[in-house]
Amino acid sequence: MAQPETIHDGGSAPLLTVSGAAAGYGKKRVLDDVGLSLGRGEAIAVLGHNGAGKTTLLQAVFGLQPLWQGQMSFAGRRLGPAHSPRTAVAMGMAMIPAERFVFPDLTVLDNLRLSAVGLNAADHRMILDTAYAHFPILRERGGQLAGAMSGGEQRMISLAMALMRKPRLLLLDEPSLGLSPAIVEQVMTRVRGLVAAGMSVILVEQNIPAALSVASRVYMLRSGRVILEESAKALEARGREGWWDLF
Amino acid sequence: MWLQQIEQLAVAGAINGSFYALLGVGFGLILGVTGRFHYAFALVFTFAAYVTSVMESAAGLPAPLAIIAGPIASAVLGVAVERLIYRPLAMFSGPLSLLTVFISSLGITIAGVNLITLAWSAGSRSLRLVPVVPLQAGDVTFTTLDLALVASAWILIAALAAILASTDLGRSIRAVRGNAVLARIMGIDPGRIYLVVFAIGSVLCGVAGILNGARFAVLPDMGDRPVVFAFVVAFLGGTRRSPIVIGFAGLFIGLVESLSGFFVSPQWTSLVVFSVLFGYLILHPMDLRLLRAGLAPSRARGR
Amino acid sequence: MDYWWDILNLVLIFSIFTISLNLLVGYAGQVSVAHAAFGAVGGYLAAFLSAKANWGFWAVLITGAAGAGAVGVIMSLPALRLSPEYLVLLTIAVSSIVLTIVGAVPQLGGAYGMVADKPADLWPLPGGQLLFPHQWVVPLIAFTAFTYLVCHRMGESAWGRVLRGIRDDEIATRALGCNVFASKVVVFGLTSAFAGLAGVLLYFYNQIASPSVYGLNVSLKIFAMTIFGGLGNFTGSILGAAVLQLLQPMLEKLVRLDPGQAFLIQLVIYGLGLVVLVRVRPQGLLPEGLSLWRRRPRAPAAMAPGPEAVPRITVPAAAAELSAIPAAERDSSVILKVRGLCRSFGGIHAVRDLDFDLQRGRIVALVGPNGAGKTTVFNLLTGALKPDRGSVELNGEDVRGLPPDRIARKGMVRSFQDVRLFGRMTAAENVMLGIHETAPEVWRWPSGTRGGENLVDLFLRPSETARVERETRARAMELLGMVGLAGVAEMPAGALSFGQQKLVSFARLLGTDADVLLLDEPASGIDARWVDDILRLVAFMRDSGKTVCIVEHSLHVVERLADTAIFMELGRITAQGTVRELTGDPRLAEVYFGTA
Repeated sequence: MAQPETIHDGGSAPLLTVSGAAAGYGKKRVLDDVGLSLGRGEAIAVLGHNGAGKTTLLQAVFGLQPLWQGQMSFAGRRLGPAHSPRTAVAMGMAMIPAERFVFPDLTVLDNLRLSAVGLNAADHRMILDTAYAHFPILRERGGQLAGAMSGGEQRMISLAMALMRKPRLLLLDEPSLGLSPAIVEQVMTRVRGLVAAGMSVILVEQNIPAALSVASRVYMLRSGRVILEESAKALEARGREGWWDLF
Repeated sequence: MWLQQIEQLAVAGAINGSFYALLGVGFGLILGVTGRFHYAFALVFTFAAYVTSVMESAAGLPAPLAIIAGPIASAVLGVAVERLIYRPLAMFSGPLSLLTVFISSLGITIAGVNLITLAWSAGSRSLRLVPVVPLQAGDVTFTTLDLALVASAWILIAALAAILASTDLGRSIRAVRGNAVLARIMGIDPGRIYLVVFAIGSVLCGVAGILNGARFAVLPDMGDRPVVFAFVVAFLGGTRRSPIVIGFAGLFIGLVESLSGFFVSPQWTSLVVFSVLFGYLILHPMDLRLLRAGLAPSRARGR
Repeated sequence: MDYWWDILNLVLIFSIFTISLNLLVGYAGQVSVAHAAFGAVGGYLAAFLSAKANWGFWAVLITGAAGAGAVGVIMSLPALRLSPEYLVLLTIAVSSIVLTIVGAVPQLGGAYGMVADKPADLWPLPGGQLLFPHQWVVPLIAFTAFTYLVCHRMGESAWGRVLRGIRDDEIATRALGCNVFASKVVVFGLTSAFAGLAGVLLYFYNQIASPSVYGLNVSLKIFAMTIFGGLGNFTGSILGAAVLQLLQPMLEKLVRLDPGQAFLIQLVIYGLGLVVLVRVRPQGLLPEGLSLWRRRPRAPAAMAPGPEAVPRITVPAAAAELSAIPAAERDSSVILKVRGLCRSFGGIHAVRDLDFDLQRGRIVALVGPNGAGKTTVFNLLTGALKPDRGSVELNGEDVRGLPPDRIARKGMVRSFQDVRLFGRMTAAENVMLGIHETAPEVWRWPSGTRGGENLVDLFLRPSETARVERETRARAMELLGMVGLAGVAEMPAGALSFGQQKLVSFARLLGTDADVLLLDEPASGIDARWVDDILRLVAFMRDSGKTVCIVEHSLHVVERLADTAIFMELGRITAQGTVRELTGDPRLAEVYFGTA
């Protein structure tokens, strides 16, 4: 499948490219010939119905899920079969899963400290300060169990954990899941701020309006295939009546 | 009169309970983090006792060196079993891995225990830890060895609790135990954590083995009963809990076993413990399902 | 020479242990390391009744076996709900309890056990007293042959198919209408009884019953023998017993080790052997299906590479006639009535106040955003979950609270998102497992079954059993032919592609003859080429009068397939109608796509 044209920027090379990706679980095929590209400082959304393969695609990019077929490259380097979350993190990616995105039995502070594993004391303090700079309230809540906090607060913790290592690419899997519209708005505002500061983001969402408030370009998956790639504005212009046909 | 008897039984129960606590904490750590039904815990237990006993008598090493050699040997054995046998098998067996790992664990134990018998004969050996001096506190009697047991057990348990609570390693271990997928996403290598956990659990097991060998005798089948107690205490305590909680579960089992000796003759007391396990398995399938759900991430990625 | 007769006798006695354990572990998948403990029950009962109460050999034998069987039944009851790992633990606990009891009760001889005061006496059968090893050979061969025949008959029958279903996927087996609990209890009771039989024989042979004869390591040895011989292969069980029993004599004679050393080395060998075998060849020495009596066709080595042809679905003539009847004239009465269904988990309402009807000859789709409760509805309807409140009326009968197998028998079945075929059984066997015939007579036990699934038929009415089996197989082949997969009927289901597996699972569902079919994501996980055929098959189900309810996340598929749709949000039904009507509603669009 020919690589989709990048719309946002004609100049610099893409940060991430995926082509011909196929993947699944056991014998079940979940992704079938999927391709995408992401520019530096760009936010794209991957949309589609439940089970369309969005999460699997994200997991494949992050190295959690091996590809049956296809290639990926990040910052000019091919991602080979040995690609694992460890290499992904080392290359500058961070991922926040859709569910179970904090360690509920650990305190907030312990959750954050897990991002600092292996660092010396000075660096440890520094990245904790990064977390507090993003979310000052976490400083006070340090001793509480993460499992006891509300969904929105847990999302905050998970974002802090991801941002502490100053990643180049942020992979967000359904950040709006289980959150009230007000909190969703807060989360999306945060993400918009990160994008404005130069972060590249891939956002997987079922909530289309929320995704459109962040992404400049969207890919639509249906039953494991990309059926559409267009600008966020174009998708918005279709209106809800038009979206039904895409699911 | 019978109050004195109860006091003595309670103290004996507390001593035994500390032994069971050590076993349960070591086994529970391994089970909770890796999900392996590590029956070869019995072999690690026995191996440590033999290494120390042999080092003392045959090699003539001074006592402190021999005593350290035991847990080190058991740590090496435990890590080797995980790295060379359990891990490849689990990756190969996928969803059946809990069962196949258990079967191979049984096989290793049979082979290992009999190799020990071949090497060092089936006769009982002795193991000297501390000079055994009887002590008295009020109406109860115990020995310096009993004190050493209680002290080492709870010091180790407290040390483990401290490591888990305040160190990077401890946090990583708790992370893998609580949400293995997320731990991977954070860049933690579960495989490396498994090896560390086996090392720590085996050290605790080895210390328990040496203490048992000193209290009673070093025999090839000395691990048979302790491994069942390790299972019982780990399940009762709950493998996701702090070591202190599991430790108290061990104490509880020790007291139950000992105090039931007030009502029934000694050979029936182990029946009480097995019945506790049996009762637990019947009455709490709910908890077991939650435990399974907790173990599921380990299985899903075939480790 | 006596030396070799002795070895043969022990091989035969242990074969009884291993053959019965194979039925439990290899066929039913219930891993137990308590087998020798059941032998202890039999052996100690025999010792007590023979030595203290002076009973005769046969009376003691039957009582010992029956007693062990009873203990096995008792152990099976808590085991029913346990997952495999905890079941092993339970068997360890039971073994320890039994051995502690027999070792502690003074009347049973304590740690030393009980010595026999008389040998086995076969009277009234010929043979007299069995004093020397060579006298034991023929009787033991008879006992072993009996065990083999009974276990083989059970394992290779329709009942054995249910056991293998339990082994491979207990939930799917229940969902197809098989009474899993009854089967488990029977298999535990039966195999423990055989272990008890072997235990009695061991007592009379050794003339002693002591805890060490039946200890945990003997159970482990029996377990190792069974695994060596091959799970699911009874001839292998005898071989496994022989190989392990011969290890020590071989070491003594050939390698010239002294008996003490030989004993230890043989234990080391089979310990290591277990480790190697479970890694390299888990199915043991002989694979399942390789039998000396009947060559079961083996699966072809590998599927041919290259694009796979999508099978042709052929709708049978009778059904084609049915679909020729215009929709308006077809029977569209209500077959399922759901009223006020509620279910919550820890304070969160998964499903609330559900009211809906399903009509015959219709396809209804459940749609809604993530977490709306669609899968929960399936689980509630099929009995996998118990509703907190509400009623579910199938064909006028309230089925709320019934277990999944009863509901399946009453005519409501489901398919699974991840298919859940029995990987180690052939495609044909998978379909056959869903086909049930019922017998009216009450004395045929278990009630509600017939032929190979019915124990009375299986042993007392062989021609009836054979007839039912033939008919079941014919029906299964018919269904497989309909989905175009007759050619792979004898392939293990695990070797089929996902699309083929889906078709087999639908054939399996059709085999249950259920009226209501709940399909969980029927079109997901497969290549685009397959989707059309799957949709045709589902349409055929509707046209032949079935009621179909699907959960599908792709609205594209729903639009092509469903007659009407039920929209769910947060556990409630908020709209029903055709797909067009629902997609035309702006409020539903907001709920489905979310708001900014």
